[in-house]
Amino acid sequence: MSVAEVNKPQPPDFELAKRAADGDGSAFEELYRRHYRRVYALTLRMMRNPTEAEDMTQDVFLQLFNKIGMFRGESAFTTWLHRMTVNQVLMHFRKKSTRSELLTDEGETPIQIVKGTENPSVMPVIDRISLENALVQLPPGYRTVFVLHDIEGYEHYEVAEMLGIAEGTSKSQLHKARLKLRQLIRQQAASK
Amino acid sequence: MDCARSIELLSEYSAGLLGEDDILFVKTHLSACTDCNGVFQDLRLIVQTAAALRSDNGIAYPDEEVLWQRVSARRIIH
Repeated sequence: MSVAEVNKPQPPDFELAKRAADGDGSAFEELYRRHYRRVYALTLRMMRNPTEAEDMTQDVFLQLFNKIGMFRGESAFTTWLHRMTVNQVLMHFRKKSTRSELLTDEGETPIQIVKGTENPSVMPVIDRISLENALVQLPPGYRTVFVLHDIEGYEHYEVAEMLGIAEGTSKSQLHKARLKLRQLIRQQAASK
Repeated sequence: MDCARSIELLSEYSAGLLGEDDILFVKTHLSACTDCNGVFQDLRLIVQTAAALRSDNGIAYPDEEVLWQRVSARRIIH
């Protein structure tokens, strides 16, 4: 790539989306190259399986190709694409489970509140590895809210909009997810 | 009873979303209850660790070209 090409201003996502909707394949390819890493990272965090996340990333971009004309620029393209990604992943989860199992704690083992200091010898180390391991075991509904809020950094109103739930539900699910993660991390530490 | 209520409020307390009365209740309880304070510290660590995961470090991304070829192929088929 020449210096002139490097310094050339890049077209905004909205412009690329419009061109892609009009059948410009190179514009769609540019959108893919800009965003595939973010889409893959999000699907991986939600699904915890690299192969499934890769397949899901393909599905998301296929969906994007089919629906690109629906993007009106009312929100940032990345937000719109993330919403599409989350919906695709949730649809995948729903094939394996019911909605109530995904977004409520019905049917789940009640969270045991293990207090902090009764046995300091098994105090777990909460680090990246223990958190990643615990996330794998978290029920999909809890995991989705935790990934979107605590990892991806979305606000509760955005999480609620993406998942089609009330903001209060997002808050309570997040709190339960954190407590469940803590319980799982302690169980991991105790089993070592 | 105080412990159950305190734990229920910890995430919102941490995020600064509680009203003054609830803040005072949680703050007072945490200063007196080492167990609940332990839960609070753990939850803070979980939130901090999650935020650190936000950076993409450590993710092994699939090959950009290979994935693009797959997307393109499926796009044509559909």
